[in-house]
Amino acid sequence: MTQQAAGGDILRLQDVTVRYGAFEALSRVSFDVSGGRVGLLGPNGAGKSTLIRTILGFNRAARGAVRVFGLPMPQKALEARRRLGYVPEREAAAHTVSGVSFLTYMGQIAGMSRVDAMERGHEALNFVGIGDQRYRRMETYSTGMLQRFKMAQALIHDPKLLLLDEPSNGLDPEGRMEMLELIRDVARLRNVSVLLSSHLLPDVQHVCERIVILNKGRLVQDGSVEELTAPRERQYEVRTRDHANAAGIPFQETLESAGFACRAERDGLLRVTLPEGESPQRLFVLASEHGTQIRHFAPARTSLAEAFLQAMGAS
Amino acid sequence: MPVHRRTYRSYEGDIRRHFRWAIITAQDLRVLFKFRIVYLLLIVAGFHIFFRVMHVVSYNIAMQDPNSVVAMLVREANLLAVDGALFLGFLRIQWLLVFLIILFAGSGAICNDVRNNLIEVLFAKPLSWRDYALGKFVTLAGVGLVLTVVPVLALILLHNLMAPSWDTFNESVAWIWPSVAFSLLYIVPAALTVLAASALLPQQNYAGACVVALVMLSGAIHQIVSTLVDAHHMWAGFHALSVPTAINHLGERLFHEPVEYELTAAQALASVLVAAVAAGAVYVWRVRRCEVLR
Repeated sequence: MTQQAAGGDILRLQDVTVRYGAFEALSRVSFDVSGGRVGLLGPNGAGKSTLIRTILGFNRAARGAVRVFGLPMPQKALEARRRLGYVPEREAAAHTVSGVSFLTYMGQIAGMSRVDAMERGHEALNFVGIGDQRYRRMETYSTGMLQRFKMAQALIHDPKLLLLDEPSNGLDPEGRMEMLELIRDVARLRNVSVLLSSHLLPDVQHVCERIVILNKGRLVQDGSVEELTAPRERQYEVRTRDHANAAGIPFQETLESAGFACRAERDGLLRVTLPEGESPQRLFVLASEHGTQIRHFAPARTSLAEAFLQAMGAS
Repeated sequence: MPVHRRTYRSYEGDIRRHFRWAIITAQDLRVLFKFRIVYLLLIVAGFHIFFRVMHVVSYNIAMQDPNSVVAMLVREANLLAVDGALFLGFLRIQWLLVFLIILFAGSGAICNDVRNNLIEVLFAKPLSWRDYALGKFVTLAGVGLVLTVVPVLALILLHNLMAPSWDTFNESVAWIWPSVAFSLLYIVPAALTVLAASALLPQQNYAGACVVALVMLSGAIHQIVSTLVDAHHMWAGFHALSVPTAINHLGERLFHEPVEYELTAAQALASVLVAAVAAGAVYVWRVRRCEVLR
């Protein structure tokens, strides 16, 4: 039985601290990944890239332990890297060779024969959508093509965990959506676990099921998207038929005079917080008395942006 | 409707775990032969080899009749002799071309990978720094040996084919090991120095210029020191300060030719070893840091 099967974890970080000289880039970070799509969120300089590099075994933890598929890093890095795919943040290209030639080389480095590597190189380039550009020299590739190429080289050796560092950097909105869909496809069709690092909340929300938030090298939040954006207690989204009644009094004013805390949001939406001991039915009674109708009523959910800002504030 | 499902297959083939350095070497050679300047240098090297082949052929034709006037002239003038001096001279000239190729191929070997962010992608695969470093070194050493040792072996073979005798065989076999040793003495420190410069500096041009500057500086220091040493009859071991001089000295000793400087073989060898070990240590240290940052 492999250590992975015994432990059940693809990735386990325990109390990991990484230093660059005197600077502590990661400070006592602990979390596990057992599968699925995990987003690594944080502002610039939060330690996301350092964390990914530590998982790959490029950085040695000054303290704590990193285990990838049950293997200690960086001691067993070569074995672990057989099952890791890495999409770096910066552009990575061999300018003088064609895309398929370089992918073949990458496949051979991963341990495949030249024939197998070339065959898989073609498949991977087709999969990421640049199969028709395979014989072009890489110096002629656009930014979007290079991003897709980085994905292809990460997939060439059939990894089980894909580490993506800002994969949508430098892409136009359409290219960005295509890249995010590609990442979802990889995870869904190939059953590959994904650790996606980004400072773009919509990217992470689009792809991931679980989110780990880092700030200043510390883990400040870890939970599923559902948990992080859970409905808030005693808080509701309300939209009424009319902004104000016949006397010109806005519904918000009526609510506030009844002791409800209100905040106007986009498109006439009100975020209403019920006073202690008050039931939601009271809102409908007040609307009736005000002379309007409630057309939208739903428990208010925390947006990912709010959860992120809360985590940042708490840290 | 798509005619095929967009996916790729799981890889279930064999995974090779050894000789990854050979893959690095093969790829480097593929990339190297994309540059016209390399072909140009190879053509010049080829001309030189052709000239030496003509030399050996001419000598053997002239010596077919040992009593002829031409044979006597050749023996007297000692111009076309196929002996240790021929191979030493061949390797000294060939070395200049090999050095240029090593400089061109090696100065960008590491820094271009770092600058293009390829080293990160490579080390994210199951590739150790040992395989990477060895692969890069073997590329340069391989090119160097192919242009020096292989032609020497070919010339020896040609000489034996044209004058087949036990004496010729015995005499020419004795030139093999000095040729290999002299080639290695040049190629190994040069390859390691170029790779170390490439690993230390951010750009190919800087690395190339740095190596050329080192060679020139070494020569200049040697000239200054040798002037002082000769003028004051000081310790001749100072000549070993110049690594090219030390290598040349070892070549002269290996081929039993008259020596230019009063150095001992141990002093010359120590100079070459110190240079090679220092360059190798820098090279290994830098490449190792690329894989795991301590």
